[in-house]
Amino acid sequence: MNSFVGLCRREWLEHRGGFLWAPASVAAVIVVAVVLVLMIGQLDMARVDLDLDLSEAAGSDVELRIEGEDTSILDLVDGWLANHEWTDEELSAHLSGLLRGVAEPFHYVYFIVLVFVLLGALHDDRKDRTVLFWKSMPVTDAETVLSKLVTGVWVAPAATIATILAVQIFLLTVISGLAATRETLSIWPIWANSGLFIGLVELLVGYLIQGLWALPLYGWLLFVSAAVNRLPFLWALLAPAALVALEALVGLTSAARNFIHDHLGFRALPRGHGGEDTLVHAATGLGDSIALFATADLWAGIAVGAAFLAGTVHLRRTKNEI
Amino acid sequence: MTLVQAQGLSKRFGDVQALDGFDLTVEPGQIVGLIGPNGSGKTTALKAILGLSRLDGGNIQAFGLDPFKQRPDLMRRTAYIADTGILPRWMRIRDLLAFVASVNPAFDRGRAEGALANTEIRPEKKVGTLSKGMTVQLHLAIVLAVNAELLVLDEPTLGLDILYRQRFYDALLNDYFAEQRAILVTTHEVREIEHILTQVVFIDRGRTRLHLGTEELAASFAKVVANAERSDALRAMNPLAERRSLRGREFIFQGANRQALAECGEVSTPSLPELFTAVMEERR
Repeated sequence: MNSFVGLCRREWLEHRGGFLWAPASVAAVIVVAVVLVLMIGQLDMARVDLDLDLSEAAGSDVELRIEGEDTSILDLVDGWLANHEWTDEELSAHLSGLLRGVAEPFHYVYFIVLVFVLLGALHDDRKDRTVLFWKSMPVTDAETVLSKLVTGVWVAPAATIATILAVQIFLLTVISGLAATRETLSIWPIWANSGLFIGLVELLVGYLIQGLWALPLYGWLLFVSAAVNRLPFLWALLAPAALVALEALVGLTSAARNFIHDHLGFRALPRGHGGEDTLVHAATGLGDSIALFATADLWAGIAVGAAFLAGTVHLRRTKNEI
Repeated sequence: MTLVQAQGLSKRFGDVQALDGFDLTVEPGQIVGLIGPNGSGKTTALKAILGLSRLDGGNIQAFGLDPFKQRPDLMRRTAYIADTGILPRWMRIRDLLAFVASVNPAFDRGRAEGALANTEIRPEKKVGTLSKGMTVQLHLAIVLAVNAELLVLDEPTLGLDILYRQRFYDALLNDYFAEQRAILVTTHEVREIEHILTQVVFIDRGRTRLHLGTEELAASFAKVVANAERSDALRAMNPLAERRSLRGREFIFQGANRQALAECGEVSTPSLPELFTAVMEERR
C-alpha cells in the first residue's frame, strides 16, 4: 500500500503543473472578468457623477449622462436585486445555477488536461527511456498502470474541486457585497440558499462517479499510450472514428457510436441552468449521479474500461522501448 | 545459491534471432562481464534476466524466481542500471529519493543522501539540471543504497569521460562488491572492465561463445608470437586465430600444450581484448 501511495505521489509530482495550473488559470480569468465588470460598473457610476458636475458648471449636458446610465452594469444588478422580492426558492434556483455554471469550464479544462496526461502516461517514459528506471523498482506493472489511472481520475480532481469552491466563494462574496451596499437584500439568505455545500458534495461524488462512467475512455487512452510508439493522440482519435465509420457503413447497428457518444458525456457531473445540451448529457443533481449505479450503461462501461486496462498492463509488461 | 541460471535462451524479433541458445550462470562473489559486439544479444539477454521481456524458449531463473512472472520480487534483490544518465529529468532529487524509498523497502535513503552529500548534487535540484557525469553519480548512489544481492549494469559508462569511468568502477568495487554479492556487466569495450572481472562470457549472434573465470585464462589460452618459418608448424596445431603483428605472426591457442608451443615461438597469456578478437574471428 505504501508503494502504491508512492506511485501516486510520483504521478502527482509529474503532472501537478497541469492539474493545478489549468484550474488556477480558469479561476484567474473568471476573477479578472468579474473584477473588470465591477470596475466598469463603478466607472460608469463615476461618469454619471462627473456628468452631473459638468452639467452644473456648463449649464446642461444631457447626452453624456444618458450614455453613462446605459452602460452601468451595477445599475442592472441594482435592478435585479432591488425591483424584486426574492423568495428562498428563486434565490436557490438562481444561485445554485450560477455556482454550477461557473464550475463547468473547470470540468472541460480538467478533462482536456486528463486526456493528455493519460495519453502520455505510458508513452512518454518509453520515449525518454526512463521506463527502464521505473521498471527497476519492485512494483508490478498493474500497480504502475493503476496508479496512473487513480491519480489522474480520482486524485487530481481535488485540485479542480478546491479551485471551483474558491471561485464560488469569491462570487458569493461579491454578490453579498453588492447586496450589502444596496441594502435591498440581506446577506444571510444569499449564503443559505446558494447550495454551496450541497454543490461541493455533488462535485465530490460527481467526480468519483464520472471517473467510473468515463472508464472506457480512460482505459482506452491508457491502452493507446502503452500500445503505440508514435502519435498517441491521433491513434486515440482515429481508431474509434474508424470503428464508428465502419459501423455506419455496414449499417447493422449503431451500438459503438452510441456507446462512445454516451460515455464521452459528463454524465455524473451537474451542469448549470441553461437547459438541455444536445452534445453531452449531464446530471441534474446528486441523486441523478448516484442513480447511474442502477444503469446497465455504467457497468458495461466499467467492463469495457477494465478490459482496456487489462490489455494495458499486458502491453506494459513487454513493451519497454520505442 | 546460484543467483542467475540461464540455459538455452532463445528470443526472436521478426527476422532477427537475438538469442539463440544463450547460457549463463552467475554465482555470489562473481563479477561477470558479458562481452560481445554491438547487436550480439547482450541487452536482450539482460532483459530476459531482469524479467523485462518474454522468452521464446529456454530456462531462466534468478534467485530461483521466474524473472518475467515475478519481476517485483526479483527487483527487491536486484538492482540494475539499464541506461546510465537516464533518470526522470522533471523530478527533484529529493523527490526521486523519496519515491525510491516509498516503493523499495530495501532502499536506505540515509545512505544515498550521505553519498550525495560529498558531491555537488543538491537535493532540491532537478535531475534535468545535472550533467551526464553527475546523473550517473546520482544513479549509482541510488543503486548502491539498495541492499541488492545482484547488480546488473548495461553499458554503464557509455558516454562518460575517463575520470567518471574510473570513479564509477572504483565506487562499485569499494562500496558495493562483497562476497555474497555479484555484478553482471555488459560492455562492448573489453579493455575498460578487464581488470575487475572474475568471469568473462563472450556472446555473439545470441549464443555463448566462451564462459570462463579470468584466473583460468592462463591455463586455457596461450598466445604465441613466431616468425614466418615457424608459422606453418603452429598452424598445424590448430590455433583459434592468427594475425600479423609488428613482431611477426601472433597465434592464439586454446587448451594447447605450452611447452610444445614454446618450441615455435615466444609464449604468453593473451589479454582479454586479444582473446575476444580471436574468439570472435574464429567463426568467420
